[in-house]
Amino acid sequence: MRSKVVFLDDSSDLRELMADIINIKLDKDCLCFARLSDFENQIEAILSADLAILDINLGPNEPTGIDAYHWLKQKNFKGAVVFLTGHARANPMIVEIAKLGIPVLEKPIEALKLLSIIAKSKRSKT
Amino acid sequence: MNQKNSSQKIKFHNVQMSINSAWTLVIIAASFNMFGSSMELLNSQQIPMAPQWPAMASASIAFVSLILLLVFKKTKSSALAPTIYLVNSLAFLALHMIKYPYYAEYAVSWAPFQASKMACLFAALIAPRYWIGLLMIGLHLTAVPLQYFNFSPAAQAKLALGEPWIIVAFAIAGVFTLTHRYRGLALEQKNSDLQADQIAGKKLAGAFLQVRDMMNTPLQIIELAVTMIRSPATDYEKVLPKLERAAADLKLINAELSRYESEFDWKQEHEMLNKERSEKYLN
Repeated sequence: MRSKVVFLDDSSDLRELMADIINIKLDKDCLCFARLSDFENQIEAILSADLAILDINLGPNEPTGIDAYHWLKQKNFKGAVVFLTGHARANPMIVEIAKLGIPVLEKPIEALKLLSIIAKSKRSKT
Repeated sequence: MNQKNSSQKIKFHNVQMSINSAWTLVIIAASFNMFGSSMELLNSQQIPMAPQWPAMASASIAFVSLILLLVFKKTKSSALAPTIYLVNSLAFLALHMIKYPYYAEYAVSWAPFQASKMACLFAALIAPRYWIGLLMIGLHLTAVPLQYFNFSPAAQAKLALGEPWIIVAFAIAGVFTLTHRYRGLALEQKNSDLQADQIAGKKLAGAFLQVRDMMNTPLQIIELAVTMIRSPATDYEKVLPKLERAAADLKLINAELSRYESEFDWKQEHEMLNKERSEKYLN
């Protein structure tokens, strides 16, 4: 079974590109979602992923990537989590994430660097 | 943004107080002139030779001024308040310059030049422009000794010791107070300009951060699309529209940014750049 990556972002173009690049370059499946509520439809697939890449701001009145992180933790997600955001470091949401100790990748990140992070990600054994 | 204001030194003698403050002060001045001229009218009853018309004229000017100030209360003009103040101050000065010789010659007991001494301090405290205050203090300072030397020797002899030069002390105190007051106003204005600059700076910084946040997703799309294009298995027809949309998003963001162009002080920015270049060159 091919390993999976979860990608949550409100840009459809970015989701499609991310799915294609992960598929072509890393031979992995990318499960793409625009919002947290879509997670509910594929819980099993999500929980089997090696990595979740979460955008933070998912649009007005939508739960944020931080909510998605808490959802994953609540469901006992064993994969790694990184945030991929265009927000400034001083943004209160980024400050909140820093407190959680989760890595934050800044958009635009070099494709090769991003692919290397994805390639190295592994599920925790505990 | 108000960068221009903070970059310019505010000179206290150029300070223009708010129109509301100036209006209030001129109302006080006209009321004071009205009261003083009416008192003068009553006082001069004791000196039958003294003409009544100067006090009546001055009181009338004050009355008309007050009506004007009330009529134009809603559409305050920045030039009207100082003009009314100047007219009232000159009327008050003229009234006393006409009356002083009569008091000096005929009054049994006269405290000399009290009105002028008071006017020096009053101008310092309420003049709506620095130069008007200075002008009025200067006029009283000049007029009092000139009046004195026109008095008869008998009238001169009746005056208290030190007259007419006591006016000099009042004029100095007046100039000092006036300058101190306007320096305070300049400082206040500078502080409020700095605060306005800070608020505008924060607003602009916030806008730039928002724009940067908005730019990052299209840039990420371009970055991934470029990597995809390099891959032989890529379907160009699928990737190119994404690139086009990312470019269109960036154009929109650029248009959004151009809204702030007018708020930027290019002249100051060029000066700063030139300064930085010169420092770099010197080092």
